[in-house]
Amino acid sequence: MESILTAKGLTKKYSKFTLGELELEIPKGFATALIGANGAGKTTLIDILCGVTLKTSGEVTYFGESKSIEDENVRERIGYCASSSFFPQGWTAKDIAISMEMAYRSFDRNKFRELCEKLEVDSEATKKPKPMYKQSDGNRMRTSLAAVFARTTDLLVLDEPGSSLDPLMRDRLCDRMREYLDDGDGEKSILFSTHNIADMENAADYAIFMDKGKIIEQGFVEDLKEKYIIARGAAEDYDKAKDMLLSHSRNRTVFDGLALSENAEKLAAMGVDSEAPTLQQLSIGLLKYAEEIR
Amino acid sequence: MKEILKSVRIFTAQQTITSMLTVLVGFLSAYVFIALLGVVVMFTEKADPDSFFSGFISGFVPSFTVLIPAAGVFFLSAIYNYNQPITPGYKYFHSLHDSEEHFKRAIIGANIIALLTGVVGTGINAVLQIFVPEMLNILLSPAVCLLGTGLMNFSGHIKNSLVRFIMIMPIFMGVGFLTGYMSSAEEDGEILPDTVLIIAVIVSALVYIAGLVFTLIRCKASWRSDK
Repeated sequence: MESILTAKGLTKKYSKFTLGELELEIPKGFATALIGANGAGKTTLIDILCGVTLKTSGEVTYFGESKSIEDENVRERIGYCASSSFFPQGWTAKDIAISMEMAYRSFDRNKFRELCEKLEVDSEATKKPKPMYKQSDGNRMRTSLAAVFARTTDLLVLDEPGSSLDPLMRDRLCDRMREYLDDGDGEKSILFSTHNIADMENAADYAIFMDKGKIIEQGFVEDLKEKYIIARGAAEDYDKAKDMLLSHSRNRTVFDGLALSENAEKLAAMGVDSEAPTLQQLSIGLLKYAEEIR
Repeated sequence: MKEILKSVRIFTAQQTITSMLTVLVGFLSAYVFIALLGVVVMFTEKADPDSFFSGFISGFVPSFTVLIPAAGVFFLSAIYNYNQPITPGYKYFHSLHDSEEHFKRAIIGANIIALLTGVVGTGINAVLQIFVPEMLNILLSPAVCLLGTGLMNFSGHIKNSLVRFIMIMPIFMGVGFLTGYMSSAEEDGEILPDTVLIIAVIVSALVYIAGLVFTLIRCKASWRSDK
């Protein structure tokens, strides 16, 4: 697997939270989802990778060559968008265009205007464009996404891009992300974080699960779906099956839980059905498991 | 200079400058309204026009010439605000290439703009003094400008906004003290008000130089520090 970004021994220490030590590989040409509950360290990790926050220790290699985010070429090739209030509150689309045009060679002002219009938010061409503070969270995110997609980059890093978008817009975002990857012919990659993968399941090719600053699982979604199963059975079979379940939920009549697929035959012998998990089920199961063994 | 302008534009686009000008135009409109009101009162009360204009300008100038450099100080403050994680835009600016260099240049640029507002304030004061020669506070504007900008250069790196505010308070206190002191000094004939203002400008200039040196040494590390 060719990586667009690798991290070795990456840590960030705060007084009440420690991220890492992380060993990380973001595959080239794919969309990687960073999945975890609130406080898992997703934003901290993204901020470090994009040079917003300093790491405490460890090494990050970008595009297989550069070891520093301070390298201008690295910054030019990374398109980053934070989860909320990315741009100053008083700014309009025109302010964003002025500033980004000055800051990035790769920013295309016309493309930004087109994307704003496509995403149905105020653009530079709007007669009286609203400043950020007068826009809804969703529209602010759309404007920020238009700005980041208006640049020519090789890696997009999006922090919770879907959290403030409505379902239809989330779907459009997934399409846009797919287009970005397809346009790159395997050279472009995306890293995005989410605490609710359900609406962006189709966008993820690779998944990294985080809990309390640690990576608890990572791999291609298709491989993970083969590695794990969702076991489902009657409540009376729960006691027999529970040792094989990594995490579970149950009521008086049925139970279901996440298990390793190597246990599928044993579970079947007990009369417990199994099926391939969705990314959402995998996410809940793994995060629950991490919480239980913590 | 081109690089400084570029960095200022990256940080402010057009919004901050527009806001600064809007505030100034707003205050100017209020002054014009009050002036017109004064003229109406002058005619209805049949007051002496010479003493009316002399009194009006003597009262108008201190407040207006303080306001102009204050706008420059607030412009500088807007740049420093982007060094606080709670300020929207923090992550955008910190994710830029060479952001600490842009921050440093934007601070230098905002200092220049703040000093220019001081010059403008002093210029207006000087022109008005031609019409009202007894007006005493021509140096109030540079004093406010230098003291305000200097203190902002110190306090801009403080994380706690309350402490920052407390550090800026001396500007307003200083203006009030100076204006009051000059009026009574003039009446008592104890000390020449011009001398007081010259001393105030010298002290303010020293504060400004110290603040500028401090921020030039500190701003890159402050921008990149953990917050």
